[in-house]
Amino acid sequence: MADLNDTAIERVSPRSLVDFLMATCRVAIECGCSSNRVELLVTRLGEAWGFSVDAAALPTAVFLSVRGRGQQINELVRLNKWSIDLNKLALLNDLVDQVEKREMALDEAVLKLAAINKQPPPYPLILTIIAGGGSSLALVAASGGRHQELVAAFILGTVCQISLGLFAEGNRKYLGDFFTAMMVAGCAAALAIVWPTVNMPRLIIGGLISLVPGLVFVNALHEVAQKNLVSGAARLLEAIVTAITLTFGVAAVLGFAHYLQRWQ
Amino acid sequence: MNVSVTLFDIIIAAIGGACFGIIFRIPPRYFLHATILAMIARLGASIIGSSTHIGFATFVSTFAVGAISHVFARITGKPAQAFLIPGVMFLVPGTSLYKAFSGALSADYQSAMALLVQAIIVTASISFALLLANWVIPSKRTL
Repeated sequence: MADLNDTAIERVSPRSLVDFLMATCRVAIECGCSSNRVELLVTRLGEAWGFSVDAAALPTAVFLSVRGRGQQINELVRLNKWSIDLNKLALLNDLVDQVEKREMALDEAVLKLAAINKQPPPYPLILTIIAGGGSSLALVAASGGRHQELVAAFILGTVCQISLGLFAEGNRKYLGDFFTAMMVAGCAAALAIVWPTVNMPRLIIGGLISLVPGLVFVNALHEVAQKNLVSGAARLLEAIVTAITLTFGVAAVLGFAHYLQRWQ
Repeated sequence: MNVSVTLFDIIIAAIGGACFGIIFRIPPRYFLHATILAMIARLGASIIGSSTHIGFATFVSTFAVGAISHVFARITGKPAQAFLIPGVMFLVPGTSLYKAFSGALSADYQSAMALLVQAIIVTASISFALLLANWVIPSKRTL
């Protein structure tokens, strides 16, 4: 693809660059990109189009300041949801590469970003549910589980994915985690009645493997190590809140089961 | 050094890597790359961890995964993160973190504290190994 000519680049207004950068930041953070990479990305994109850009990215918001052509625009992008979507991240990578090389106009790039944001998942839902079961099975097998525990872990992993799909929509992430932990713990307790030899705590952790905040904890420390203290602290808090939510969800069900046993 | 990696361990590592790849929606073209990295992470941690501290085993495995992710990123032109995340999932201390809070809720504060410290050591190992891998083989792209 041919580069845009110099006149076309000079006609680019700070407003259109800000609109593009805001949309880019939104997609990048929502796909699981780290804050320091988002900040570096917008700075480089701004420089490529002849603007000076300062950015402060957090998991919940991005602050942008764009200067050039005699203007300064400050903007705030508020973010309510974030997850990990590596397919969208790869598509975003290709797009920003073209924009940085000035092979694509900003207006066109904004439209393509919207298309990336609406991109359906690369795998069908049923495969994702089965993968949830497979990841739980793998974790339980890696921690010494055998035979019945592997079957039970697969069932719990699929229950976890189905429950997440039902409850964890939009802003209800923590509520969804809480209900999912309850569902998984309830199913683990039921499976422990059917197969009394299984190790229930191991099954519960295996079932919740896609929810336990290990990756968030790692990302938090990684951000802190790169001097993104505010972003790192925010992610650390997210990891703690998620761990507490899961613990309370499991404890609620196990406490109720214990109470029923005593009552009988 | 007592190293025993069975075919079962290799198969389980491959299944885990493939499943995490699907959950995190890795582009289908790079599915195999992510599976290989997860196998390296899991088996590396098992082999090295059998004779050394878990923190060191995690550090070495993560460094290997991080470095290979950057090589894959350079070859394919995709972000290193796309290969890295499914790869390190076997190493992140989510289980320790959950067990720590669960122990605290059961008033078993001593084991909860031990698990939390272990989670912090493993997390720090992963973070610094990733920084080192990024320094040794720097990314050509921003994302």
